[in-house]
Amino acid sequence: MGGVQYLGEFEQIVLLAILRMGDDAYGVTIGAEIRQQTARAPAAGALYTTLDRLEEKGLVSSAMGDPTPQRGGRAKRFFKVTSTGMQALTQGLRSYQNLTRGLQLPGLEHA
Amino acid sequence: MRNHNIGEWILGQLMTPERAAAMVGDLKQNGVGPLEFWMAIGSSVLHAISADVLVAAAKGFFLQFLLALLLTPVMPFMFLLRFASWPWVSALLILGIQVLTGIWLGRQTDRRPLLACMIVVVADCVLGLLRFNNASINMSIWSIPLLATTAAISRRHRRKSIA
Repeated sequence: MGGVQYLGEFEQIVLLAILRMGDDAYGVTIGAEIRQQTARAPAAGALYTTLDRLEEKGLVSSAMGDPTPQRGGRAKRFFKVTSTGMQALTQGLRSYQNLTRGLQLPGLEHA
Repeated sequence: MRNHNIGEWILGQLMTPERAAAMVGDLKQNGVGPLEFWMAIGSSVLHAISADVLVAAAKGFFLQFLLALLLTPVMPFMFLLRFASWPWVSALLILGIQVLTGIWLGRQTDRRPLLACMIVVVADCVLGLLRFNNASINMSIWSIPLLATTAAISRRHRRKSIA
């Protein structure tokens, strides 16, 4: 599959949250990390749909964990960013850097 | 617990059972209340309405009219031969149309035939409201289990033949 995939804003946020959570990246922790870092509570439907879409694009991979009694015997679904996802994410963030270089945006330490 | 199982079943019509269970497990772990739980299920359903599901539903909706045109000539024949009274002939016709539409939807939509069926039923109900082509809201609602069942059977049969 050639060419860089362009990500939407929420897709980038989800990918970054997955990277930040490392091996513990599943729905609950990803949503909590997004809520903590962005002061934005993602709708469950939007979050899981985005995760599915990212996996369909090959940007993340998922694996089922062990079921736990806390979850009613249901397993967790852990996510990892693939190398393709890293490329797409890096490209998107590099674009932001290029666009914000030299700008003095209020509330930001570096622009 | 019962709500979680029902929600998991609904999600299972839109995604794999494992993913549905994982999502419901996440919601249960978060300790969300019933309102938030069902809002999450509902938003997942809405987000699951992808273009291909809408296209399949639209085709299924118009397929009903096409089938009605094709099968309607049979009705007077059956009535004249006194196989059944006129209301029964109409009921059989509608039954046949729903079964054939359900089978077609099951073959067209790989993962979400139930969602496509529900969209078709909603469209039928809208027609019933507009009183166009003598469509009936009651008949549309009663056709839900038949449409969904035939679509699910058709999808299962298609998967077995592929595997």
